[in-house]
Amino acid sequence: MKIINATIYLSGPLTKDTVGRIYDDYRQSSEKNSIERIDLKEVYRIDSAGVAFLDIIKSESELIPELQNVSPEIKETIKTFSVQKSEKYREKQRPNFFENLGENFFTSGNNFISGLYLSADVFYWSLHDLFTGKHRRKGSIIQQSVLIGVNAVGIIGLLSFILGLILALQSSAQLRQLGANIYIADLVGISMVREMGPMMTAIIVAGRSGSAFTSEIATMKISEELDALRTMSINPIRFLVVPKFLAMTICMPLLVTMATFLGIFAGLLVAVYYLNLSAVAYINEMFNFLTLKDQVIGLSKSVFFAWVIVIIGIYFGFKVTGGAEGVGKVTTKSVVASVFAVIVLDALFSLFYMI
Amino acid sequence: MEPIIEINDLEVKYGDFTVLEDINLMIPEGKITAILGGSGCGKTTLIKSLLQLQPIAQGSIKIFQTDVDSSDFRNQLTKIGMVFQNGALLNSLSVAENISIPLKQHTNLPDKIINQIIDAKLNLVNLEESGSLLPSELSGGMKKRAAVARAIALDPRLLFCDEPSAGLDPITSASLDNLLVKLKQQLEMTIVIVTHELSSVRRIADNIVFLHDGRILFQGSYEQIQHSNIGEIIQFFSSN
Ligand SMILES: Nc1ncnc2c1ncn2[C@@H]1O[C@H](COP(=O)(O)OP(=O)(O)OP(=O)(O)O)[C@@H](O)[C@H]1O
Ligand SMILES: [Mg+2]
Repeated sequence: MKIINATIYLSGPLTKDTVGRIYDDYRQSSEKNSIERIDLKEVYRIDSAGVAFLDIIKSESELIPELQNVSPEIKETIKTFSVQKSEKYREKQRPNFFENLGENFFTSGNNFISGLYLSADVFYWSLHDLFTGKHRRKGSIIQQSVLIGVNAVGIIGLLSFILGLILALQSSAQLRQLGANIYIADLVGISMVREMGPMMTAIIVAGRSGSAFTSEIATMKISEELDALRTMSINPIRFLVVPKFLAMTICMPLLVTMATFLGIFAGLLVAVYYLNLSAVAYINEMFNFLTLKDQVIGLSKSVFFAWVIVIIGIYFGFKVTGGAEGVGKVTTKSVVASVFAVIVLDALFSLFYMI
Repeated sequence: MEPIIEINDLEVKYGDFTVLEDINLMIPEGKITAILGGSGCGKTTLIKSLLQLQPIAQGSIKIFQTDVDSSDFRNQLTKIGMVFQNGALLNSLSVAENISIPLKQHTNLPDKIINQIIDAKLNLVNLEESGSLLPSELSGGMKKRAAVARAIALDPRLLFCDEPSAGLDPITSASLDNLLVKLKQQLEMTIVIVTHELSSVRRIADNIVFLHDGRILFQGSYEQIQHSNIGEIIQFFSSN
């Protein structure tokens, strides 16, 4: 490449392998703004990278450079690949870090409000449709219950059992020193029934089913299935959400009950084999200590957790934007949000019942 | 005769990007109206905004003389069928179940009759053997045809088709054209179809709307559009 008398002389092949080097030379030359002619006499091959380079030369010069000595074949190639950046070009403004931060703050407020609207909708239709099956598909509640409940029995059972073991083992060492072995029953009982059972179950269900709700609805939204339902005058809430909502309301208390039992059973094993208590003593102590109130608290929590998980799961599903990558994003957000919500709600419950 | 769709000063945006503007359009009842235009000119957006699947920035839309954002309109939706550009079948349900949804939700017909209707609709689109397949087991063109069958499940008064024949071979595409003409003649259906196939436009369209860059450049019959002297239209027709 050389520039003589406002003419840039290019030579050799002008292709993606060579343009990088030539462009560097060009960029360093001081005359690049005053080029009037581009000479292609010695260019025998050109590809789209070469044409792009020519376009850049043209756009950076303050004059309007013209091509000279262009062979017909090269002219054709230039015609194919040359573009003038169109004025209609859609510049997308990407927000910067602080704008994002503010936006997030603002949207989490909005999320909460629209979440409330959505809950109102879901509660209304669930009650409304509770006794009429017309707006669901036949068997959809059972199908959902299997997905949410039955299929989760194994993992929830196993984890609660392990949780019970950990609780009991951790505390029995201390209790032993004090000679208060029998209180193992109170400790395991109260924590499984009131806290660990409901919370552990809720967290697993949020991870298993909450994420499934989000990705199912989000996928349906981006493939226009939700639009299709609307054009068929079918309310997606009634058709898709109500069965999930009802199934969750049924399954969560059942799962929690099972989790609690298994946790307590693990405690019993520790009591018998490690603390040398009799099984009867353990059970008696537990029944004396636990009240109906504890049961009610545990189960009512589980129902609230169920609702929170459904609402958050579907809320993020409906909010998806973009294509398949959007589904992944909202699913992540939804699981984080519902685990967060479950824990915060649990804290609120504890405060509430302390008073 | 009153138009079945009446659009006044419609403007639609995605963010700051104006996709449609200045749309004024009457769609006559009982006719097949074809919407033509290059890729990305806003045809799908137009149809979606008619059905309120796309918020509108400005203007008014009336279908069956009812404002589409009024609450009365929601009850009219069962009289409208829509074939989406990508089919939009519910992927967790079989083809036959997809077709059964509007029938089960909006009629009190016994299952036996519903199944008969499903068979008939599948037969109309030559899918009589595929009723039990899932959408993921269909080819692209079969999905389109299944979507047509679902859209006409309730014999709607008004049918929107977004490129129903894209991806179909000429023979199947022609038989779909015949189906649309039959629906128009026998059920007095009004059909709005987006298409790129000039041959099928010539065969079936009574009324043509040409969109370019979000504006209506032309509206009229096939003969009229052929004699149009608008540059974009001449280019569109000569390159097809
Ligand atoms: N979800 C969206 N977000 C932002 N812009 C969009 C979105 N959907 C469509 N657009 C833009 O709107 C314009 C019109 O799109 P539309 O889908 O209506 O085109 P079309 O005429 O149906 O094209 P085709 O014949 O290819 O289907 C395009 O420029 C497109 O980029
Ligand atoms: Mg389209």
